Formats: sequence, C-alpha cells, structure tokens
Amino acid sequence: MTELQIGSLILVCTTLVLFSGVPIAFGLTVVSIAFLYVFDGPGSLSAVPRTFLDEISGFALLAVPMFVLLGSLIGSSRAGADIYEALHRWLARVPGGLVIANIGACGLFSALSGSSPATAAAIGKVGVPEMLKRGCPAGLATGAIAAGGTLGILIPPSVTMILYGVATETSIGRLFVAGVVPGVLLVAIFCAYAWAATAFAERNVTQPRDHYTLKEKIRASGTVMPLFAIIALIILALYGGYATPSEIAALAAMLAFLYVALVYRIVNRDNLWPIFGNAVRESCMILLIIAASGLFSYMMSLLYVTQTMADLLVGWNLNRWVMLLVVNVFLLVAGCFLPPVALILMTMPILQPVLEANDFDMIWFGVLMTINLEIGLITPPVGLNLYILRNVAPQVPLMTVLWGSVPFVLIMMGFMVLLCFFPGIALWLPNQMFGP
Amino acid sequence: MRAVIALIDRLSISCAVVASVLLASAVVIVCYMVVIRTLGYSSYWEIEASIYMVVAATFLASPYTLMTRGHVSVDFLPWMMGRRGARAIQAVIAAVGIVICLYMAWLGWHLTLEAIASDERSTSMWRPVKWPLYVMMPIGLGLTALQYLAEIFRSASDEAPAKAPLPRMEAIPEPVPGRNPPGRSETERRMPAR
Amino acid sequence: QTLKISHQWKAQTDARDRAVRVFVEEVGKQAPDLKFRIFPGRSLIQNPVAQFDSLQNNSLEMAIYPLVYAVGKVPEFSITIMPGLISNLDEAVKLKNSPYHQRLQEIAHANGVHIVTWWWTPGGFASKNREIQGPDTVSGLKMRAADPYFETVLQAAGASVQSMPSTEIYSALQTGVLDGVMTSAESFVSMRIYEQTSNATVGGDNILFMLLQPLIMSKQAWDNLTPDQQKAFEEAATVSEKFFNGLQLEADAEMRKAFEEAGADVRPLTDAEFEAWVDLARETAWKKFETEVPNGKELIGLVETSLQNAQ
Ligand code: NA
Ligand code: NA
Repeated sequence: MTELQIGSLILVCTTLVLFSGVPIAFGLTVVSIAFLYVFDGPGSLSAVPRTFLDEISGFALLAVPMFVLLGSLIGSSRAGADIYEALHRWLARVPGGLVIANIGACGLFSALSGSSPATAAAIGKVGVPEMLKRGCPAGLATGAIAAGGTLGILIPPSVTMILYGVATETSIGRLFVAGVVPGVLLVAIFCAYAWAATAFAERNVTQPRDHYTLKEKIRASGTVMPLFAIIALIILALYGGYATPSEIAALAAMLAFLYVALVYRIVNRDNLWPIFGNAVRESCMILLIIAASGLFSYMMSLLYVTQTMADLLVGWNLNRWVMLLVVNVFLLVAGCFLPPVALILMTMPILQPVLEANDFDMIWFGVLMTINLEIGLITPPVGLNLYILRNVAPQVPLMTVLWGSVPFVLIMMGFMVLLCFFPGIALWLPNQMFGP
Repeated sequence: MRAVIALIDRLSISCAVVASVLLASAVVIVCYMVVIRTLGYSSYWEIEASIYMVVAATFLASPYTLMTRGHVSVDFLPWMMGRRGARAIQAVIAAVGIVICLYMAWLGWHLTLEAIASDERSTSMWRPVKWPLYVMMPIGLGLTALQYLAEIFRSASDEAPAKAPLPRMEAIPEPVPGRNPPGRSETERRMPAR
Repeated sequence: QTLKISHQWKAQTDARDRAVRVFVEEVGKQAPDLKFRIFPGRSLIQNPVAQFDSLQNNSLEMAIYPLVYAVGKVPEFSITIMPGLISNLDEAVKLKNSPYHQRLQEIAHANGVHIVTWWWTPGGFASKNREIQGPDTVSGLKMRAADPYFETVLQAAGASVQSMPSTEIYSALQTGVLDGVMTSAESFVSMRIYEQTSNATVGGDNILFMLLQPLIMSKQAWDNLTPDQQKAFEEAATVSEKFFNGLQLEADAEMRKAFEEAGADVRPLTDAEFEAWVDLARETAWKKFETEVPNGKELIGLVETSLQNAQ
C-alpha cells in the first residue's frame, strides 16, 4: 500500500472510530496501535507506552491541570456567580455583553497561559453556565469560548510559536510580536460577531433590557475586586521575570484558592471535594486525549503519511498563490486530526524550502499557520477545545457545540484570507520594533 | 452485583481523592519553587516532582472520570441508532474500552519492570528513579478497565450512571425570573440534558 | 530494508543533519541495497531523550544523539560532556579509536546501542547583563545548564542553578527568570538565544563545554548488517567526520556573526580563566563522577592517558 492509500484509510478509520462513541482518548489509541501493528509490524509497538507517557510528562503541560483547577475553584464556588453577576450588571445594556466579556477573558488568559486547552477549560468552566443562565444561545456561548480559547497559541507567549521558531529558524521574538495584532484583531472580530448575533436574535424584542443603577453595579463588584488584584499579580509575575508561563498556572491556582478560601470560606471537605474532584476529572480527560494524540502523531509520522503528502504537493510546482492555498487546505485537513505542535514538526522541514523559494515571509506564514492550526482545535473529529467545552458544559448537546463553532471557523478562515492580502497585519508591528 | 458495583465505585473515588491531593501538592511545589528562586536559591527537584504528581493524578483520576462520564466521546453513531441500537453499541464500546485499557496497562507494566530492572533514572541533578512515574499507567488504566466492567454491570441492572459532583451545573440552569432573555422560544431556552 | 534515522535538528542547514546526509550518501555508494529515511527536527519522536529507548528496543534503527541525554540509563555517558576534561575540538578528534573510544563503545554495546560516528561540538556561556569570565563571575546569576555535572560546577561557583525544559529558555531569558545559559554553540543560534543575551563566552582553544553527539545505532540493527555493510558504515563515518569537523568552523563563524549582529560581545575563555574553571570542575564534577559512577575513575583516567598518548 502506498502512503497515500494508508493516509486515506487512516482518515476514514479514525473518523468512524471516533464517531462511534468510543471515548476520544481510547479511540485514538486503538487506531494508532492498529495501524502501527498492521503497517509497521509488531516491533513498533514497543515504543507505544513511552510515546504515550512522554506526551504528558512535559513541563509545559503542567499548566493544563493547574488552569483547570483554577477554573474549577472559581466555577464551583460562588465566586464565578458573583463575577458574572457583576459583569452582567455592568454590561446589561450591550447586546451580547456577557459573551464579549468572556471573549475578552479568553484573550487575557491566552496572553498569560500560552495554552489553548488550558484557556478553554478555565474560562469555559465558569463562563458557559453563567452565560446559559442569562439566556445566551448555547451555541454562541460554547463557540465563543472554544474559539476564544484557541487564541492561546497565537497571542504571546506561545509554546507552539516557540517550536515553529526553532523548527524554521525564524526569530521567536518577531513571531511573538507578529502574533499580537492578529490576536487582538481576532478578539475584536469575535466580539463584534457576538454583538451582531445577539442583536439579530433579539431584533423583534420590545421588552426593555435589564437596567441597574450605579449603586447596584458597585455593590455587585465588591467581592470581585480581589480577583483583579490576582490578575494584576499574575501579570507582574510573568512580565517581571519571576515566573515562566507554565509556572504562572500554579501561582494563579494558589491565589485563586486563597481567594475562594478567604472570601467564600470554602475550607471544609464537602466544599473542596466538588472543586478538586472536578479538576482532576477534567484534567484527566484533557491529558489522556493529549497523550493519545501524541501516539497518533507518532503513528502518522512513522508511516510517513503526512510527510509524503507534503512532499507530493510541494512537487506539483504550482503558482505561488495556488500553492499557498493548497498548503493551507492540506494543513486544515491534517489539523482536524493532528495537534498543532506535531503538525509543525512533521511538515515544516518539507514545506519551508518551497515557501522560501516562493518568497513567502516565514514570520508571516508562522502567524497564518498558527491561525490555521487553531481552526483544527475546534473542528471534529479531533477538536480538543470542543471536547473540553463538551465536558465543562455537559448540559449542552454536542451538535450544538459543533454548530456553535462554525461561525468562528468561518471568521478565522476569512481572517486568513485578509492576512494574505494584507501581510502588514502581522508584519507591521515587528518591523516597527525590530526594523525590517 | 450491586455490592460489587458499589465497591468498584468506592475504589475509583478513593483514587480520585488521592489524585486531588497530588494535584494540590504539585501546585504548592511549583509555587514554592518560584518563591525560592526569587530569593536566589537553586531549584532542582521541584519541576520533576510536580510532573510526577500530575502524571500520577491523571492516571489515578481515570477510573473516576469514566464512572462520571468524563471521558468525552462523539456519540453520532449511538444517536443515529436509536434507543436499542445505542445500547448494543454501548456494550461494544465498553468491550473495546476494556481491551485497550488492559493492553495499555500491560505495556505500561512491562515498562515499569524494565525500569526497575535497569534502575532507570531521570537525567537531572536530582536523578529520581523512573518506575514510580511508569507504574501509574498500569494502575490507572487497569482500574479504568475494572470501572468499565462496573459500568457494564450497571447498565445491565438498569441503574443510573454515577454523577460528578457538579454543584452548580448538575441541573439545567433555570433562567432567573425577571431577567428572562427576551425573544427566544421555550424549546430553545430549555436545553435537553444529554 | 529501510533504516530510520531520527534527530532533533533542522533539516538541510544544521551541521548534524548535513553530515548524516553525507553519511547516507557514502553508505549508498558501497551498499546500495540499504535504504534510509531521515526524520529531522523531532518529527518522529518529539522528546529527543526518548530516542534512546526506541533504539534499545529496536523500534528505531539510528539517531543522532548526544549521549548525555541517556545518563538516566547509562550514568557513564556523562564522561562525554565532563566539564574541562577535553578542552577543544582538536583534542576530541584525536581521541577517535583511542582506548577511551573503545571502552565507550563497549559500554554502549552493553546498553544496546552502537556508536557509529565520532562527532564532537563545542559550547559555552551566553548571558544577559554580565560578561562571564572565571568562576567568580557567575556568582549570584540564575543559570541553566541542562547537565547535572555542569550544574554542580555552576552551583559550586555560586550561581543559582535552575532546571527548566529547553522550550522555556527563550521566554525565561526574555523575562529575566534566567540570567544565563550553558549550551552548545549551535543551540545559541538554533534556539535564537542570541536574541535575548548580550554576552557570549565561546570559541578559542579553551573550551569548557565539549559534547559528543554522534550518530548511533540500535545494537540489534548493527548486528543484522553484513560484515561488508558494517565496513561501509565505518568508512562512511570517517568521511562524515571530516565533513562535520569542517562545518564546525563554519558554525563557529555563523554563531559569532549572529551574536555580533544582535549587538552582543563574543569572547573566548583566557588561559587563566579556563584553568580556574577546570580546577573547580576537578574538585566538584569530576570527583562526583568518580565516586558516584562505578567506572568513573577508570573513564577519566582513560581520557587523560589517551590524550597524553595522542600528543
Ligand atoms: Na499565549
Ligand atoms: Na481538529
């Protein structure tokens, strides 16, 4: 069998197995082991347990369970309700105000964590139930957070961009700066969409919106103030050189615990168990999926499927822009199955020479590719952020989560086109800061 | 039968409690590291210790995650098959789950034995032995297989699945009176709980 | 039969990747029935350290692998980075086929791998605000060394030693979590460390950081080769070594250029500074190696006598 045929078979089998209702983590493991066994022989199975374990024994992934714990601390205590009550009172006049606040929070968290699943889990845990409680359409609520969460790998710092920088020998500093404007613009466009979608849904409503006096607004904000102190402390720790992005997660979780313990007096076992029980449950789900997709990536690389396809389209000798389109479609499809980092490591050695020969700027392409890979995080069958949302908001049906993310996927694709026509969106700021 | 299910459930919950303690300890250790580094001291064991703890917590929480339907899946096929078909598919899925968990546990167990025999250590200044990291995989996935068995029993005896402790999210959130979102139909507002 | 070669560096530009392609081509001339497939830049195994496990269980045939990565399994391999033991590329090259090389090969065989090539690379310090000279100049700095023996030396010199994964180094230097790092000269370029540091202490004839990062092979795969194929491998290794050592000069110049363009000062260690570092290493790292590793004393002695005989 040729690599292309194997690749198609993997595509079909993975989709079937994952849609059958097997837990994602176990389904990916089954597919990986089966293909390794059939196409590379039993010898390759000896690498399976280490590959699986290696994927989750890295320091960068420590941030995931810790941010999940943070979300659980805020979300399972009354803190979350209070925060959203305060936000609601301030934003009640704006259509979709709460969704906008959530997207903003995703942007802020992305800037701090560098991790997309961590962002989606922490904000989603608190945000989705509160948005639903206040009548926000379920699809919009989950879509906004799933998509907002993906910004974690675009807005600096970002481990994905560091690996892209190392893999392509482009300046990581420039890449980081190049991600800022597109990241902020995407946040703004997401917010605009949330506003428009809500305004459209409420177009026939004559009933007046809730109104709160300034006094009511301030009263609701009282208990939330310490939270802003926590955020300020975290920003100080990160940019003041006291802690790396992965360590920030632990500091944030610790501060949130102190906040919840002191302000809400959550110290006994009955109150702590739901918080910690949920945190380990959710991080287990996320980390096992990450471990399994590591195994899946190993299988794909060993069978040389991704590389052969990249090689193939590089060999077509297409016109510059057609080639860029084909490369992006390829990455989009591959991104449905493979995590961002694995895809960068597998394809960049092959794609980079051709992109450079066609005179594409590698910093610009890094931003374009990151947005492309973000889309993969919210598309099935392997869309990590979707499943995180599915888990933190079990009351929302999966189909609603899926459809809810479609508008955001379209926005990101549109933004990629925009980025092709106006490379300055990404390159202007780094050129200003470092010179061309 | 019921007693067996209860016993397995209790075992899984105990593991999740241990996992919680490990996760909390990892948070404390990383915070401690940041503090002592700021004070100018060296750090050499903290990162690895917290990684060991988080990996252990991940595997130990797996049976509990299964018990509370926390391992997410895309239920297209069961959804298309209707009620009776879905039940048959659930049984097949559980069987696949047991097989893959046991197989991975077996691989993990061999890895552990290998690491003990060769005294495999981490490459840091601290040089901790590796087997305590590896052994969590057979323990966690082995217990997950056991929990799958309990789930099969549970479904056979028509019991409701266990629920995660979700204090504020268990129920469909009721719109707060007076603050009802205008303009949406009753069905849209009331989300079916799975 | 296809042999897989895995490594962690960038394809086409990194010296190790280019040298392995030379090796593959040379083997191809004599043993055309052997096919190779190179997986560069961690594209097969994401964690570079784990390549060793795959070699041991023969699920991977070959890798370019700094032997120190495997000290968790083979503590003796620390000898291939021991601070100040081998003080420049010339010395390292002369050790090929020495009793030290042969003993190292025996140890590798006992652990399921075969050392194919003899590729050494130099390294050094990069730091943010302070130029690093003798051991007294790292006092109070937050440093990362990645190797326990270098960490021992740095700690003895008064640095506050930090452990963190290599992916965090860039951000850590940027925000000030780290003041300086010790690593191989090529990593200064490939990990863009020169963007975040203003001083580099590398180059010259006094090199504290010499690292063996050869092409190695699963012992099982090696034994499966015919004697003719093995001979082809050995001859190709010699050709690749010549090529690789030539590239080192190029890499040194490239690193210098990168640092200087970024406005950083580049200097070598002076004889006096180097002596002070080696004295400190002898008292700390070497001693630790001799007492903690079963064959430690023998290995250090072998390197020293091999170096004397090579003069
Ligand atoms: Na980020
Ligand atoms: Na996807």
